[in-house]
Amino acid sequence: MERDLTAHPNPSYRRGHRRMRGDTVILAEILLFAGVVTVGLALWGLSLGYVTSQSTKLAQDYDKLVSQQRSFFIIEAASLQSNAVWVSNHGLNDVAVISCTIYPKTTPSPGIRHNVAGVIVRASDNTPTVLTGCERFPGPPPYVVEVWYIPAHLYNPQDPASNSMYALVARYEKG
Amino acid sequence: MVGMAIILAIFFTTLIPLYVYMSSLYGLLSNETNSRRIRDVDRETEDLKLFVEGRSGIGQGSPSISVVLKNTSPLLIRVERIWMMNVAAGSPVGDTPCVNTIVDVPPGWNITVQVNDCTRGFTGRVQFIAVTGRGRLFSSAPIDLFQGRIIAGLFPYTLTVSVINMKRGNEYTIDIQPQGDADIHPRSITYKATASNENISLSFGTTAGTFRVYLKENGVLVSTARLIAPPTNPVDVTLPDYWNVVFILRRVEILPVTIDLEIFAPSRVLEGESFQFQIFLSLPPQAGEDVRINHDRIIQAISLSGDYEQNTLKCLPVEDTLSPGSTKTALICSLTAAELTGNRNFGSITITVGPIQDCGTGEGSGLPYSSDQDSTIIDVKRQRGR
Repeated sequence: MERDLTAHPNPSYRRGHRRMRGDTVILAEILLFAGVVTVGLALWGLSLGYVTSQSTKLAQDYDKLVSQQRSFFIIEAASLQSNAVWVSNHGLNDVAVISCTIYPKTTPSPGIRHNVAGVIVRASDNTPTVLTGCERFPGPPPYVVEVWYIPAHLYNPQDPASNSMYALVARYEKG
Repeated sequence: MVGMAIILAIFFTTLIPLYVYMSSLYGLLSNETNSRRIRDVDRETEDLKLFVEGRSGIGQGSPSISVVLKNTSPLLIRVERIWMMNVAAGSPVGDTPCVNTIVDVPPGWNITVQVNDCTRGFTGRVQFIAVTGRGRLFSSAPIDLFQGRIIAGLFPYTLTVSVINMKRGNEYTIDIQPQGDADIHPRSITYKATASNENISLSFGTTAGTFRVYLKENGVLVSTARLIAPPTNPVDVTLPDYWNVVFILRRVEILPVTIDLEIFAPSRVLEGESFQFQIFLSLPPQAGEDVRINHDRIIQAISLSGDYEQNTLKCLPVEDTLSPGSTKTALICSLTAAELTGNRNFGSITITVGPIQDCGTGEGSGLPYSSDQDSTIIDVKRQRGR
């Protein structure tokens, strides 16, 4: 059944209502488009930020793991008279020594004493490095020489606790 | 459409790169872990043996000592350094590596490295330690050096010197003087005799040759009158034809002396009171040996008389051995005084230890030592109120 639009007593009403209805649809579409684009860009930005920060953290964690895999450090000799210890780096990256102790084998390890201020032992050096003034604990022989070290680029002199977290140990028994 | 496009953009620009990045990091770590494992396996596969060889250098200007590096592993071993450690002092000799040049030892090869510069003039026990490029330490067996020479090869013969019938407390010194090119180690030994008629035999490492052996007693050359054999002092001996010298000293005769016995007891006790007394023994300084005390004989020799309760004597041994010039408590005894009967206010107890033929036994000779006698009187007083 066809509606008779001409039946309305006010012809101007018929024409104005049609024009206003078209404007609203376009506006709504524009608003919807803008909203979607805004939310999408915000979400994209958040995602990029999250991924970037996660990637940085992952890179740091993997760097520490890889650095530990690449580190290998040995004690070559020690003098019980002068408490000097000769060490060398056979790994692939430089290391920083943070603790050096000589203690009787019958006693527990004194752990990390932070008594060496980050002496760098280079991986490329062909000569042994001398650590002087290692801390000596009283007691009968045999002794254990214990040196704690970390990859040099992880060494932070301001934060001994974080140094300890990534420290590795080399031990040497001395009759 | 736009939303889908943005979702796809997020997916391709963040999640996939993140996944790829994580994978590459994990791959990097895996590579490093595998490399480390390979390095560790190589390190564990390394096997290097160190042998110390040397010529004694007798009659030569300087001895020759070398370290033989024997690679028994299937890998080439790069020796970066060799340390010479002083075993007694627990430190590297000279505080520097003995050899500081790189030596490559192919699999199955023996390579000899001269270490004369480190060992020159050194006396003591040393050990050589090789440091490899992979970070392993390999050590030789400890060897003894005497003035830079290996003792094992230096003195192939042994000279034995015996001294028989030494006198207790005296110091005996054996001095050996090599003649000509001969050499010996050590050249002098001093020994203090701790028992009468003690015997010792001492060995000296020597080369072939003639040696003059001196025996001194308390720093004085022992006279031939004091010797049963050999007829002279010093005596010459030539190795390897003869390899021992025996000095027989005249035996010092031990004569037992009399042990002085003393009773120490209170001078006065009350009736019915238990008290203690002690028996002391003194061995004169002239005795030539220690004497073991025979406690049973002393207890059997105690005789009591006077106002004491019967069967109350109990004795405990204290010291077991007397040394010359010493005074020691042999026994601590307890005894009970009897109640005084009748109207007596005073009584007495007499303790006597008679002479004992075998109060002690000589520890070296086994001879019996006698003791003298002693006696003491103890006054017994009535208790008040009785």
